[in-house]
Amino acid sequence: MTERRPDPVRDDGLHVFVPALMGVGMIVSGILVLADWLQKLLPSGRLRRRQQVSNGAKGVVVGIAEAAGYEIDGPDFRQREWRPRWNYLVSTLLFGLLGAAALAAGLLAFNDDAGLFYRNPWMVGLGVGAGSVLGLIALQLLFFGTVYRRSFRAAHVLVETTWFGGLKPPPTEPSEFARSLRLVPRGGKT
Amino acid sequence: MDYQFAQFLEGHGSVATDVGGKASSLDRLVADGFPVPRAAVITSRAYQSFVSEAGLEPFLKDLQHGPLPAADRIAAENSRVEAEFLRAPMAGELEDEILALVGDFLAEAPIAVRSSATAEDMVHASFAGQYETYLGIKTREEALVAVRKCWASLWSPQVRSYRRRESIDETDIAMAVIIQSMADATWAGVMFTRDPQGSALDMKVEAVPGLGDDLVSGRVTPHGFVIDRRTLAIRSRGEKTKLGFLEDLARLGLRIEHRAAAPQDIEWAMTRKGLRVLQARPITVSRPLAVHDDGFDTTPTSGDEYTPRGVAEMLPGVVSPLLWSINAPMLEDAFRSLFATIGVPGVGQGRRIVGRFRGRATLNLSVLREAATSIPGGSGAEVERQYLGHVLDPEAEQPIASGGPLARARAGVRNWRANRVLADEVDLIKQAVHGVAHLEIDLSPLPVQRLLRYRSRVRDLAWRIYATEVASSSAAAAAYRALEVQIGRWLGEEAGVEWAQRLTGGALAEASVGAGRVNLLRSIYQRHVADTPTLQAALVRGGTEPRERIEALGQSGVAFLDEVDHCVRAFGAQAVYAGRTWKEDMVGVWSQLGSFAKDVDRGATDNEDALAELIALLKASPRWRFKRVITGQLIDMRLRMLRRMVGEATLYLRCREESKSSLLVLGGVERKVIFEMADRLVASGHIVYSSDAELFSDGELEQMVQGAEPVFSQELERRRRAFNRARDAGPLPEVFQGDPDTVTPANVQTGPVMQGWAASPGVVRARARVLDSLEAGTELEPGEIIVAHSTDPSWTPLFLVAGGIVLEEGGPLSHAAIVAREFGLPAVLNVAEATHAIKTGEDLIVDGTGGEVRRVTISEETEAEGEDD
Repeated sequence: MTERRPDPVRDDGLHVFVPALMGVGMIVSGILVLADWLQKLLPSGRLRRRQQVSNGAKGVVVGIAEAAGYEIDGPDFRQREWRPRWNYLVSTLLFGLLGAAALAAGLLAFNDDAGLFYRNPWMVGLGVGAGSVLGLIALQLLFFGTVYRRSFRAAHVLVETTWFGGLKPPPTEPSEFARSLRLVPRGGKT
Repeated sequence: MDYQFAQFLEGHGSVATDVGGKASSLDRLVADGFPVPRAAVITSRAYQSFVSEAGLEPFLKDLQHGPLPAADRIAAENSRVEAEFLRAPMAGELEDEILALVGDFLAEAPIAVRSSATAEDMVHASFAGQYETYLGIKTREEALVAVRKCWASLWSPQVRSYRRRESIDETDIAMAVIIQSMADATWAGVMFTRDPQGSALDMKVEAVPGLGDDLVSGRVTPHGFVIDRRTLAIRSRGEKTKLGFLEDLARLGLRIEHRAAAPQDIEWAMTRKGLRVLQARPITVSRPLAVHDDGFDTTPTSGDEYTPRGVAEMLPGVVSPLLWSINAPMLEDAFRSLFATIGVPGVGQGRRIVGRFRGRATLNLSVLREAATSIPGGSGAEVERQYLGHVLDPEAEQPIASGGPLARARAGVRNWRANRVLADEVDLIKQAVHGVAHLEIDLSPLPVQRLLRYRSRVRDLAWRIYATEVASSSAAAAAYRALEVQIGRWLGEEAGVEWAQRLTGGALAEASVGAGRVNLLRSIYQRHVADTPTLQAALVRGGTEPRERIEALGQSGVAFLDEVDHCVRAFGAQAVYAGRTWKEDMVGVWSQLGSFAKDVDRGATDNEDALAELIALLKASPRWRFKRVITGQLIDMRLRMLRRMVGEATLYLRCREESKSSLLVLGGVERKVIFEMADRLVASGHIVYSSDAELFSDGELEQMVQGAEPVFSQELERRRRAFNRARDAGPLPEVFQGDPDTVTPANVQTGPVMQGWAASPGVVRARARVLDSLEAGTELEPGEIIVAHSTDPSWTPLFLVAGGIVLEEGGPLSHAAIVAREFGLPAVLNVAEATHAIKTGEDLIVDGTGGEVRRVTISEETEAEGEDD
C-alpha cells in the first residue's frame, strides 16, 4: 500500500495554514489594489516624463538643424499652465481648513494644562506660523480661483513657473510635435 | 575582291560578334574621324568555319569543361593548344582569302596582326594583354601563322581562367583577327585617360622611341608623363625628355574618352603624318576576383556559426556596399551596447557579430548564444528560438545559465532598469524623427563641411534608433517567451504558443512598420478614389506604374497624384536605413492603393477580445477558482499578472516596430543627403551616374565629396559584378560555418504536406503565388497565398491583398509573423525550400494553427465535391 502524500489543506490539523495563506494573499492583493489606484490617481509623473521626452526630442532636432546652419523656433515643452478653476477653489478650501486646523492645534496645545506642551511658546509659534503660511497659500489660491486668467502678469509668471500651475501636456502625436517646430535661418529666431 | 570572311574597317559600322570587341572599337574610331591606320578584320565567321572544318570542336569542348592546368603546366598547355591550331587543316577558300587580304596590306608596309575576340574590350573586362598580337610581319606565310596563333590564344589557359573568374559564357565565343598597316612611328606608347595608379583627375602617358611593341612587351623602360585632365599641364615626374605632341595627344585621348563615355587605355603612335590611334579600349583593373572578394564580405571566424535569420529583416537581400558600410557598424554597435546593458560586455570580443556573406547580412549565432548563456536563466535554445523560430537540435541538452539567486536578482534589476526607459526612448525617437523629416532642409546650397556635419548628426540619431531597436527586440522576445511559457503552464505548451500569438496579434495595428503608411494612403484613397470608378479602374488595371492612366483622367487624377506624391515623400526608406525610398520606387504604393480598389478591406484583429476569451476560459475552471479562494486573492493576481505580461509583450513589440518605422523614415532623410553628395560628384566628374553611389562605401563617398581622388571606375565595375553575382547566388543556408557555398541546401519537400512553423493561426485554401520580389507582387490577386523566401517591411502592401503566407524563413517575432497576426492571415514560416517545391497556381491549404501547408490533390478535390453533392 502506498503512503498518501500529505495535503496541506486537508491535513492542516492546527487550522493555521489556510488562514495564513489567505491572509498573506489578502494583504498582497490589497497592496496591489492600492498601488494600481495610486498610479491612476497621480498622472503628473507620466506627464513630466512626456514633457522631458518632447524636450529631449526637440533638442535632437535643434542639433541636426544647427549642423545644417539653421535654428529651430518652437515651444519649450516643460511648461506649466493654469489648472482648472474648480481646482483652485477646492484647494483654497483645503488649505484654509488645514491652516485653521494648524492654528487651532497650536493654541489648544498651549492652553491644555494637562498636556505636554502647556504654556510652551513654541507651540503658539508653530501653530501661528503654519496656519499663516497655509492661510496665505489659501488666499493666493482663492485669488487665482476668482480672478483666474484675467490676472496680472506676475500671477501668470507664478502659475507658469511654480506648482500653482499644472504641467502642460506636450503634443501626443509625433506629427503634432513636428508641426510645432519651425525652421529659421541662423539668427532669425523670434 | 569580295571577301566572305573579311571586311575593311572603314567606319561603316560593325558588330562585335562578327569582328570582335577590339575591331569594333577601331571601326567606331574610324567612324568618329579619329586618325587610325588602315585596317581590316578577318571575321569571327572565319574562325568558326576553321574550327568546324578542322574538326576542333571536341578538343575545344574538352578545354571548356576541363580543369585549368596547374601553374607549372601553363606553358606546356599553351604549346599544346597552339600546336592543335597550327596543325589543323584550313579550307582552301578561307586560306586564299586571308592570303589575299594580307597581300593587299603587305604591298604598302609591314603589318600588325592583332586578336579581336568577341569577348574582349568589354566595359567590365578588357582582356588586356590576354590575347596575342604580332607586329612587323612582312610575309604572307608569317601572317597566316600569326592568324592561327591569334585564334589559338582564345583558348590559352590564362584566358580561360580569366573568363571563368569573370563568369563569361564560353559557349559561342569566337575570335576575329585585325590586319593593320604598321605605322612608321617615331614615338609610340600607351595613354590612360585616367591614371590607374595615381589621381583619377590626371592622365598618364608612357612613350618609347620607335615602335611601341617593346613598351607593350615590357622590354624597355618608357618615359612617363602625367597630364592634368583639366588644364592639360604636363608633369613629368623628373622626366627630362620633352615631347612636343603631348598636349595634342592628351586632347585626342579626352575626345576618345568623351565619345566612348568611359576612361580609355589607348595605344598610339606618332608618325611623320601625325598622331595615330592603334587601338582604344576601356580601362579595367586586371586583378583576381575571389568568390567573396567584393571588398566588403566578412572573413568567417573559425568555428563560429552564422545565420541570416532575424537580421535579414533589418538588412534584406544583397546589401550594396554603401548601405552595408552605413548600417553594419550601427547594428554591430547596437548589439555590443545591448551586451553591455545586460551585463556581458566582454562576450564576442574580437569577433564580429554582424557579418556579410554573398552580400547578405548574417548574425554570428555563436556569439549570441554565448551572450545568452552568460546571463542567469538564459540559454542558447532561446536564442535559436528567437532568431530561427525553432531549436536546431531539440534532443540536445541545452545548458541554462543559473548563477545563483543573487546573480538572478541582479540581472533582473538590470533588465528592469534597461526596459523601464525603452518606451520613453521610443517616444523621443518618434518625435525627433518626425521633427527632422518635417524640416525638409534644402541641401543644395549647403557647403560640403556643413552637409557632412548635418549627415553626421542625422547618423547619430540613427545609431540611437538602432540601439533601441535591438534592445526592444531582445526585450520583446523575452517578454513574448515568458507569456508563452506562463500560459503554457496553465493550459499546456501548444496552447501557450497559440494564445501568445493571439494576444499580441492585433495590438500592433497602429505600431507595426507600414501601418502609418497604410492609414495615410487609405485616407487619400477615401477622399479621392472611393467614389470615382474611373480612378479605381486606373489603379486596378494600371500595372506597376498607373501614373499616366491617372493623369489622363484630368483634374481629379492630377489632384489625387499630387496628394499621393506629397504623402510619399515623408514615407522614407522602404526596407533598410538610407536604402531605396518609396518615392524612388512607387510600385509598393500603387500596389497598396490598388488593394483598396480591389475591395480588400482587411482590418486589424482585436487582441482585447482574445484576452477576454482567455480570461473567461481560465475563470471557467473550478480549479482556478478554488486556488483564488484558498490563496485569499481579493483581486485575481494571476489575471493581473497575465494582463501585465500581455501588456509588456505588446509594449516591447510596439517599441520594436515603432523604432524600426522611425529608422526607415530617418533613412529617407539620409538618402536625400546621399543623393545630394552623388549629384555633386557627378557635377565634379568623379562619377558618371548618381546611382553609382550605391557601389561606394560611406567613407569613400565622404572623402570624394571633400575633393579626394575618385575611386577608380574599374573598381566600381568589379563591385557591380560582385553585387550581381551575389544576387544570382541566391539566399544563404539557415545556419552555416565557414564558407556558405559548401553547405548542402535543405531537401525540397515534395510530398503533399509540408511542415513549417505555425506563425499565425487560421486555415485558408487558395491559389499559391510564388514571389521573388516586391515588384512581382503586382501580379498577386486578392486572396492568393504568398509563397516567398522571406519578406521585409516593404512587403506590407501585399499582406493587404493576400489570403495566407508561406515563407522559407521567419521566427515568431519576424515582420511576416507580426503583420500576418495583425491582419488575421494564416501563416506558416520556416517551410524549407517552399519556393522551389510550390508552383504558382497550385491549390494550397495553409494551416497556420498546425504549421502545415498542404497541396490539394485532384482526388481530394473530387472527394470534396462528392461530399457537397
